[in-house]
Amino acid sequence: MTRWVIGAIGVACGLWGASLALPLVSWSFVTWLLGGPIVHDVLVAPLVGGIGLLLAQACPPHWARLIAGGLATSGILALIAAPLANGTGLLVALGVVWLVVAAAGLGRVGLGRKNSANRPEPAQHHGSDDGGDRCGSGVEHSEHPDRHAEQDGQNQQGLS
Amino acid sequence: MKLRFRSPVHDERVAAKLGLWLGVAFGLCFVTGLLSHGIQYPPSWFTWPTRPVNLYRITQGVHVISGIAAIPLLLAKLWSVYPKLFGRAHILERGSILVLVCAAFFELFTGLFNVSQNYAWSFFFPDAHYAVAWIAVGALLVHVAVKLPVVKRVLKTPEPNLSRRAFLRGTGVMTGAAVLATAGVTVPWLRDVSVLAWRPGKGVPVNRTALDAGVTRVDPQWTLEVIGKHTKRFTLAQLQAMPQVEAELPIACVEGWSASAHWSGVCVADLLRSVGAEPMSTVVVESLERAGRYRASVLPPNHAADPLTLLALRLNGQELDIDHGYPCRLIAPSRPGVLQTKWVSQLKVMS
Repeated sequence: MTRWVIGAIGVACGLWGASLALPLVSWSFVTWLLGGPIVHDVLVAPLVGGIGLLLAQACPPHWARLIAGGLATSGILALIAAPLANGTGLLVALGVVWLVVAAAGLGRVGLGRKNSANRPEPAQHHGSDDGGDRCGSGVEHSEHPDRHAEQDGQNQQGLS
Repeated sequence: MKLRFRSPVHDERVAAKLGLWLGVAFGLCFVTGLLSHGIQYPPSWFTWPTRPVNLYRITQGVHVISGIAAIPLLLAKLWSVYPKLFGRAHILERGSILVLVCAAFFELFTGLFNVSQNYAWSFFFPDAHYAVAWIAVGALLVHVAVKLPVVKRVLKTPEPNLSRRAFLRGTGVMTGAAVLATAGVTVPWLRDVSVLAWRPGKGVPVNRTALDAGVTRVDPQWTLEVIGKHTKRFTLAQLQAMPQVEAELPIACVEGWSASAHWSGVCVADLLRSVGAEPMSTVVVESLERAGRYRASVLPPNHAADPLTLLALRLNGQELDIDHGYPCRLIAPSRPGVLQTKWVSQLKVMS
């Protein structure tokens, strides 16, 4: 019942918005409306996945995770700075991000030596919702590097 | 070749948690956006209080900061559900998600470009941003209705997977970084931290310069016309001779930036009384600016009657310079900057 009420309010809001938007429709408007999802799904997401995969192959897990985080944060900050064309501000922000990444990475290495181990993640049964098992084809994405340790072998299979 | 998404972050638990955070961000953005729209295009039943004086500064600051926060949250959320793009789904669900994602991107990115004053479109931004906000919220509510059982289930169980926890934590850090990098546009103590703030620096920023507005020279014979029961004209010297009210009030732009300043000038209610008008009236404030959408503004009765609503003659102890609205400008508490009319030429009582 609650769900039907929420859904009905949603449909009403959406139709109201559509009636307001209809007179505004132009090429520029439609471009802005469709541009985001297209650029994201076709370009950004595959790129993010690919970089994640490369990182997972190339770096030790704790570094891969930190670098992935640093890259993602850099990407977001660049996105925010882009319409401002604020190059100097962005450089400062990126400097801080990568200093933090380096400090966290080196700190972790030091800590790891002290504890003589990086705690490995317990083996997981990966979510049945993963999508991969439902679709025959697609692109292998493993942006999350710490999987590398536990599933390296499967990754290789996935890529082949 | 059989390729698969295997990362544990492509999971309903991650999607639901991020969805919850996004729901909060979009909810704040929508409500504060509606308020800002209501102040600028007030329906007859709408009133906006004049106190606290920083109220609009706060609601609009929340609007842009929650919008900025929603950018990394949306991207992380889309990443968590990306494999579903290649899976099977009911055409209605897919359609509603498409509408949601289109509208969400539209709102966040037109908003981001607009605060940067990078108007890379041909439509009128406020109308489009407002219309699509309703579409976004409508599609969001439909999405919530569909996914409510998943959200309920997920929130009951703790997250045991370290990768998923790390991903959520990382998204939190990323969101924090985006907020820290920009929130200084309105949060004074972050002014030096926010390197990506679109209005950095000291002093009171100016969005529309005298040159932009075509008010390059003010006639030395300038007078302020006040039209009430009868009409009166005031020279600058006469305004300066009236009792001066001092007030600490913010300029708070719809673009989210704000700065507090020390203003002094003549109380608008005093001017209205001088022409036999009741201060609790709707007042149209006209500018020397000839054309332009924001050349005039309407003061609602509660703002017109407020003792802190001023025709300012001085800013931070100095005579107003022309970019700030010389010879006099409107400055009222809790009001969008775009309605704080500069280069005022006339006050006209409507009711």
